[in-house]
Amino acid sequence: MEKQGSLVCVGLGMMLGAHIAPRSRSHIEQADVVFAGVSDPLVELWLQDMHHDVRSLQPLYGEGKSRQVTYHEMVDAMLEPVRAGNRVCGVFYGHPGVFAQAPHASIAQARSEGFQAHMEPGISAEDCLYADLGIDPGTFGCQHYEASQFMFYERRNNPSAYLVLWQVGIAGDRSLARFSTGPAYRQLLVDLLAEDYPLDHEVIAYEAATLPIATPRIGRMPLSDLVTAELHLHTTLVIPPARPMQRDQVMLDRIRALDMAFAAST
Amino acid sequence: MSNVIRFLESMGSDPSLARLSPAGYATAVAALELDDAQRQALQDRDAVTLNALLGGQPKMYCAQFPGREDQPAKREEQPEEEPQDDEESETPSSKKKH
Repeated sequence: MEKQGSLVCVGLGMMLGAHIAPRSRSHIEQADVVFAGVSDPLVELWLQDMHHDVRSLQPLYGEGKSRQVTYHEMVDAMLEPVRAGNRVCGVFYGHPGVFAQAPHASIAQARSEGFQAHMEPGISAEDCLYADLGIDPGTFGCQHYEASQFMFYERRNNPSAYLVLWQVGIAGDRSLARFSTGPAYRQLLVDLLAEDYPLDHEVIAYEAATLPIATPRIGRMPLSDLVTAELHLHTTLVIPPARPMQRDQVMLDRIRALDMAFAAST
Repeated sequence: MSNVIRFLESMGSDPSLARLSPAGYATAVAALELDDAQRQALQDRDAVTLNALLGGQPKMYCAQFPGREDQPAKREEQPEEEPQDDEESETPSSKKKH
């Protein structure tokens, strides 16, 4: 039997006033307690105008403090009023389930304790990226990795597809306690990328606009310039394809054989 | 809701406001009931000053995702063993499990 408290995690989208879905807004307005995990202070003020009890998750971050600890504390913070029987709404910028650990973890935890919990999608930075850069991920394919994860693990990158690296401003941070890494770390990332891309290959440093009085950042540069580029925690690196797609003739022949067999049988 | 936030919300939701010419934007801002400092900051599209004037958080962190995890955040299957650390730099508390 489900208990009385509940949790919903919703996304505000990226831009103040532009992306919030009616359903997410209703969840915010109908909640007993609202938690805010947003990226822009004016967006947080906007959210505070939607509900009388908005509790910012910002104080849980700290320089030198592992973000893994912060994310666990976010889960604990959101679960506490749920256990007390409240309708809790966790509000996150963008999509609450894209490159966001605490919303997934808090929903899983709430469900495991017998509470009703679910997620409402939002417009993510990825969605804005496609619109602002004019990229269709279906054209050549699109690979997404968290930048540090891309460095820590052996991934099979396909340079005939787009490569999008998130949180590139903290690429190579193993401590989870820093909010930027420097040129030496980025040089390692460039070295890794140089295995698949020429150093003069154009890459894009992208930042979605969070306010309607701002514009997105679309910083084009050669790959080699990434080492000294201005990169923030919210900067995303977009690497367009460097090679044409290669036909898989073996697979095409097998499909053709199937097609012929199908045609012969009809 | 402050008039600044209300205006930003309107701009965000109304494409005609978002596409105003510089002169049209200046006229729209001039028509708002604001104190001089807020009006100037809005006119300059200066989000930092606007935030300071409205009392928002002075610093925001946006990272919501760890680059590495000692354990998946939700009950996802981890198909491969994670690499071993040779020089562990994390604090013990970063290994906290659910």
